Amino acid sequence: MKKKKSAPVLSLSTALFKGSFVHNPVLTQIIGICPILGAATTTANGLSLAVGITAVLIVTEAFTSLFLKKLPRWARMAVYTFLSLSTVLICDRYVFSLTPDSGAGLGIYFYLLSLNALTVIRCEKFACKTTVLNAVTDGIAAGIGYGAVALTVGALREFMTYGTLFSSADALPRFPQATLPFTALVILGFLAAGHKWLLIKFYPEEVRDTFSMKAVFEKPVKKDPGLFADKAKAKPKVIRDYDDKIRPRHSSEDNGKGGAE
Amino acid sequence: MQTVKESFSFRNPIFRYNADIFTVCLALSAAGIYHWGIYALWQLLICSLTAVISEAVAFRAVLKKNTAGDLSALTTGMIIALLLPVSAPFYVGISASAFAILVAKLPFGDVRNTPFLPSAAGFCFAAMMFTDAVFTYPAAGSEFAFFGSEAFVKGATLFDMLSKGNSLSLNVFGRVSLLSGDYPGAIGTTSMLLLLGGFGYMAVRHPKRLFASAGYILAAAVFAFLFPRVNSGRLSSVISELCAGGLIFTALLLITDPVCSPRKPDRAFFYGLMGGTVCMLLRYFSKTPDAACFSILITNALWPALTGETILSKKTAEKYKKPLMKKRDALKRKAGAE
Amino acid sequence: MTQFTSMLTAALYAMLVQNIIFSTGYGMSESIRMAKRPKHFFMYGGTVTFFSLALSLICFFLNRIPFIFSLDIKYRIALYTVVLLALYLITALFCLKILKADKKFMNSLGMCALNTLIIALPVVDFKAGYTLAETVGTGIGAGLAFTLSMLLINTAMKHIHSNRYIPEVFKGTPALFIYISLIALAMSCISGQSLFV
Repeated sequence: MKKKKSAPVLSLSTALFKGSFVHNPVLTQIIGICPILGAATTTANGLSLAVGITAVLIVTEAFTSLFLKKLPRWARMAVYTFLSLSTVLICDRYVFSLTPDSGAGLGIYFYLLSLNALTVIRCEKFACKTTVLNAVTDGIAAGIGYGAVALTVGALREFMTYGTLFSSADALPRFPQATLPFTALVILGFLAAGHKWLLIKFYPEEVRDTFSMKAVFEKPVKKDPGLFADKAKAKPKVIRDYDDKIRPRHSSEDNGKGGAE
Repeated sequence: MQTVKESFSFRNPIFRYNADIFTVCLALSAAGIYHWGIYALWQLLICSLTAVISEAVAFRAVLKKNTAGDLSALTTGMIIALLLPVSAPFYVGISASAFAILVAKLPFGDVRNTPFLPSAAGFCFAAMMFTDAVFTYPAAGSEFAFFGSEAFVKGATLFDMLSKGNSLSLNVFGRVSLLSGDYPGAIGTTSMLLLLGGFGYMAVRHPKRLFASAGYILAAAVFAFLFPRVNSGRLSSVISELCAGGLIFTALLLITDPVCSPRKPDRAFFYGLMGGTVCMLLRYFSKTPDAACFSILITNALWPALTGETILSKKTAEKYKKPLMKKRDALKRKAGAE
Repeated sequence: MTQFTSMLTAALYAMLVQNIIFSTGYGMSESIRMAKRPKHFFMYGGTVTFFSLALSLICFFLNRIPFIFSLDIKYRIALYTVVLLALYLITALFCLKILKADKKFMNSLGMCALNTLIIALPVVDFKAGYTLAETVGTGIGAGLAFTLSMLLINTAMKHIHSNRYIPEVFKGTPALFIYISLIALAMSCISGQSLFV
């Protein structure tokens, strides 16, 4: 019986670095960008989002790793949302005391961190398959990566809108339209390009095309049986030759001669 | 590495097409300079130089090729300048041209592969960021400064009158002024005579491109006829809507772009119809004063999504057809040998 | 007739006039992930429409209670999230036990239901003071807007995949971000600014 290959053991610093920078959740996988588009309009908002998401990830991943491994996936997703909501409701007071300018500007986006796709994806892909320590490390790494992007986007947008950094409360907006989502998307595009350039230069083995559409466009797509998969009846397989003659699936003795009668 | 000399050659099809666009833009610029003086030339120079320098520097650094010689950047800058009012501050033109090249063109590689028209994207960016500067047009005879003028007499454009639902007669600006372009508007979008001349020139040089223009103008005219915004008759509504804003300019130079619009004339006609309909819907329901360039971007996004056509569909289809045809030929040869 | 017109207007507004995905960012990452599977567009769109409509209607009637009407935004969102969780669990159990849905569908049900777009809609309806007809229209419009955004993003992915001239540093996510930003720029012309901050 073949032994399963175990993943290489990484040191804490390497794990944090890889999780936050090399596999940055926003720049490489486009996860959880809704709060960045809507709320990261100032540096203070970016910092609030960073702290909030890190807290949510740590709590949710730790809890998932400890208690939720046996639950079916569809039920786990509800628990993630409930845990994230509880974390956000408890820590909002502390987060807003850190960044007094951010409260009104965040609107509902801070509370929408409870429904962030990043939490679900990290928990499903990692936390429910590993130990608590690794899950917490992953949560911290993903939070740092997400937070760094939120902070950068917030700082740039604040500079474009108000011409300030960390002190936009009393400033008049010069270009108020810089708070629209399209400016955040442009900034994210160039940040992602810069990130990819650094990876190509220093970590070429880690460069991956996350949104490769090869699987969609270059391989034949299997027909989806649909909602009622168990009730689908298996159809006999036939192959049509290039001259449209139907022949049964050929056996191994047949040399692939097509259409011969 | 491709040199400027290689791109600046009549053997290059991009250069040939852009040379014709440059000719049309030159004629429209002449009218703008005649009406607005040296400030129109200043606007044209700023936008064109920014676009050419951005392309030369960015494409050389990222793509390792010099494409500034194929005139695509130059025409992008000129089109943006012709859509701006002469009173727009210098940073508006610079940011619009830089956005057009660095955001709408560079990330997609070659000029033949841009999914969105760069000049339309650049103008839309300026329109969103500097709405007041882009949509405030000076009255004839106003004084300006080279670095943007804040105190000038604002003119009432045809567009303002239409949006307020005034009763306009066909003679609101005078027929001669309408033909020559001597009324408040952007630098290059007001002279109907030169725009019609541009259509004549394109009909001789690139007749198939004008199917998209025909669709665009037809859709706008039908919309204006069926839902007039003025009380002085449907004919007055049609002519006013067509002459207002950059509609005719967009129909001549933007909707006809060979990269973003379909190659076949019949499909190009329907593409133009879609663009014209979107433009009129935006005029009637959106808050943006002149939505012609926004209609171009929306059509660029919607057309491939709804029809399955992309600008690379011919090449992609050929790429996937070749191995299948090879396999078919091999099977036929085997069957023949047997 | 007036009710029907206001419902239609609200639906068109949420779908086209101010496409709720591109002008605010709600549900953007979910629509990007789902855009990779064009065969399931109508299933995803239908599921999102169902949840957005159902939650909007339930929250509309809950807002009629004076205590809930006067709640702070923080507790309002918490309440809407709890209602959404209950709705999701009931729907999931119904699909699992009665309809005998398979594992793939159950996994995608969570992705469609527990979505920032679904939660943001009742907040939008409350802040704008929509009537029942307008609430229904916004719910349907949001689902249609989600389907439209998946279609547009899928087109973007196809283009980026088949364009071999994209520079190495822009291949993949950077070019996708830029493509979507240009769509958002085009859509944001219509209202000029975002509805929600």
